[in-house]
Amino acid sequence: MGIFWIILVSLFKPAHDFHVSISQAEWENGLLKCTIRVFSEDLEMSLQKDFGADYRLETALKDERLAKYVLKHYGFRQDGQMLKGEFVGMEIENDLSFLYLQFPLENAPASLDVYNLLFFDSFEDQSNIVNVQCGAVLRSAFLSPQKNTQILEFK
Amino acid sequence: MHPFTNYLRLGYEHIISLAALDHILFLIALMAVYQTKNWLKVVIAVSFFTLGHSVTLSLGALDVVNIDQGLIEFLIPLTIVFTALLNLTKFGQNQKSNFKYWIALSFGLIHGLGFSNYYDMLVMGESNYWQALLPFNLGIELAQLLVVFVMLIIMGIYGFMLNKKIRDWNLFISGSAFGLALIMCIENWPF
Repeated sequence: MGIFWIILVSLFKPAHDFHVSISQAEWENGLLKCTIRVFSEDLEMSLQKDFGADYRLETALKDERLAKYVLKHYGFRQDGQMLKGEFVGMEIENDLSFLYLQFPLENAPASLDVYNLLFFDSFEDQSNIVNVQCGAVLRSAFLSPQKNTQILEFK
Repeated sequence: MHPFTNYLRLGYEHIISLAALDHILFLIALMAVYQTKNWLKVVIAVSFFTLGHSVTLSLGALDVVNIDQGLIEFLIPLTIVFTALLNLTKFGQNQKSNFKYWIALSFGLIHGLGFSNYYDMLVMGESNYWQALLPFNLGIELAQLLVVFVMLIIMGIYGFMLNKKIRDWNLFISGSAFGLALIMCIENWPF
């Protein structure tokens, strides 16, 4: 009986974990520029999983593994082809971290296959929203561990 | 999809998933005294609750809401304890009274403080302040109305088909909510 109560009470938590990342991408002049906002805590925890428990976000910028990590988890495909991306940088502002990426893409895409797997291996309830602006058209993908890629049409 | 739809879904799923059970417990306690025929009163009360926590969530940029998180985690279950106790009084059981709306609004303000880490994520980097915040709050409201709808059906079945009194339902729900929330209060004791 005691265990039943412990389980029941542990389900009710006043502070909700909010496992979300939101990214904005915009195509302009042959370049798809992206900003991903993530919770600094989530990013550091995920990096620690891969690179060891003493890994710190503050020093990550000097580490080329960060760029590889981000590009492995976030990107676009066009007609089945992966777009080759480039990690531009990161800014840490308290709770949030902003990751900057860019993908050379000569012509405005008619459609893009979006993926963002960030933190899916850490949180079952992670949601990653990816907004893509292409000219006047704004489209948005809602990605989760159950559905980690989505095709956006810009016609 | 347009971003609006996805932010709406984010708010909706946040309540429907098990992440926000304290929200649902508050709603169930808040509506425990109402008969199904007074469903509109329930919808209004729940909307006042949404309004309350939307306000504190949207004020996230101001330091006013930078209250110690430990205290908030204690205050949130305390609102449920208080609501459950109120349900046992004649005053709290008065279905005609509008007092419940004000309770819902002010307790909504407290529940919204538990959302403080959401603000930056939903606002910073958006071209427009309301772009993500408005649909997120609407999604929360939609999910809460769904909870209310399901509860009203259950309460209707209880009342009409089983021919039981809403008073017994209220005692059962308020007692359970009181017990659960009291344990949460003790676990999150901040002093």
